[in-house]
Amino acid sequence: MIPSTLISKGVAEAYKRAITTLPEDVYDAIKTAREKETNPLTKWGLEIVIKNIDVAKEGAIPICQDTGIPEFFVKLGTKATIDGSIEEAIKEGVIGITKSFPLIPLAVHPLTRANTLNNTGYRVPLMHYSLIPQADYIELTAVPACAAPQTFSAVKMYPSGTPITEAKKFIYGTVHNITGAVCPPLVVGVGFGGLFGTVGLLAREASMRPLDVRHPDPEIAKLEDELLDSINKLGIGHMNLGGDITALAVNIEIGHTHSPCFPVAVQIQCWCCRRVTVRMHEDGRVDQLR
Amino acid sequence: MTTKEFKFRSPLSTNNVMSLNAGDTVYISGPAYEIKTVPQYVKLLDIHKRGERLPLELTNATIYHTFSSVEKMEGKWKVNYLGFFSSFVLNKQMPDFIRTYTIRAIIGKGGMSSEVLKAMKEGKCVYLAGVSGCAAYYTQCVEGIRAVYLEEWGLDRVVMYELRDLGPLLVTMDAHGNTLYEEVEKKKEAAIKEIKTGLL
Repeated sequence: MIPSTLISKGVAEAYKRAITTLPEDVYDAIKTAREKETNPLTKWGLEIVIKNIDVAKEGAIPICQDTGIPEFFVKLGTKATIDGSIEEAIKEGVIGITKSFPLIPLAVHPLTRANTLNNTGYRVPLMHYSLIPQADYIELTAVPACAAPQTFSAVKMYPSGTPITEAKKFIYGTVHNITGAVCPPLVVGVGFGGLFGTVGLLAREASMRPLDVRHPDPEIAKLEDELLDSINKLGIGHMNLGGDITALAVNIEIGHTHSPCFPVAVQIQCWCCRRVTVRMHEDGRVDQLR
Repeated sequence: MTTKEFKFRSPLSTNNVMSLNAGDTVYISGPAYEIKTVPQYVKLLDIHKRGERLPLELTNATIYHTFSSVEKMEGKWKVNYLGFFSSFVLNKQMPDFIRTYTIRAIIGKGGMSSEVLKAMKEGKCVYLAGVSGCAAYYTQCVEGIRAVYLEEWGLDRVVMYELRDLGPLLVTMDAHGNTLYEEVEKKKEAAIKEIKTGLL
């Protein structure tokens, strides 16, 4: 049986690592961007970004001040048992790390705007569950969700028969609309299909895929390259001061949809593309995965 | 890359401000006020309208649009970490605030509107952009908290930091009416038009 205290501990550890260290693939992509960039201002800014990532890792200081709304993707082994409520255990983990780190309390009521001061609330932390057949462990990915990229992300519900060029225009338009609140170079997650409630999640998951992994369908991988190429032609650059590199990657996820529907979602993600996965076992082990 | 590099002590003089041009980099030491929520601006402006005295000195001040983790431990305030806050959120309140309190410098991220630029030119004020998202790096340049005013406002309290060469900050909007954002904006408009046309 997996103790719920272990889950709370795993949540806190994963979250702390997520806000203080960037995944290797993202770090490498930023370094490559710095090499390739020809705009002196953007190149200068990216130098500071790299130094910042190094300082954060060394000192266990948040990379970005927006330590995010806690969002978790949880995979439950179908043979795993837990001595309590997993949702409560995750919530406890968030309350614990908010106090001990400390994190900035960011969860507010949508209408009254009252802050709960502990980063939890109605449906917060955000939790998405799926299953791993036959496994006796739990995998949890912490993805701190920051405000600015959420604000500039968008969903469009096109009717079927809408040409793909319209969807492309929408994707480029969404990136074009970002202001200095967002921090390029971006990771752009695109969702095609599903329905209204799921297309945003497809885009979110796309933005979580490692930047050096292309979609397995070669046609879709080709579309990812095409979208990236055009987005970089926008010339927004780091700090919105111009440059060759506006995005590090475009990742697409797809889902089948209802025949008259063509949902499209764009998840904007800043360079501070944070994700950490841990695997929690019955014997109390917590493995750090990529 | 950038034209010139400066080191200044806050509060900045009008000479300091006027010597800066868009593209220069600056390091700032001395006091800066964290004022970054709309209610803070509304309430501080209301105090002035009512003719009441402010408990803090904002004349010639440096305003810091920052998102911070601060806490009071055994009666003493300490800063854990902080980074730049999106200034555009305050576009509406800032012109009036610059005029009312004679603000000399705004530190933030992403720049502000043409209305703010106009008020900055009239009032001799400069906008200094930090490198977005870099909390860890810039936290090293904050000595600590000098004072906390209006604690009764809760999360809208006004924190006064002591900066130690906070930088590099980029002058993206200067007191002469120049902004680095305008040209990028124009290019961006042209690029999106071209990309969309190319799709037809």
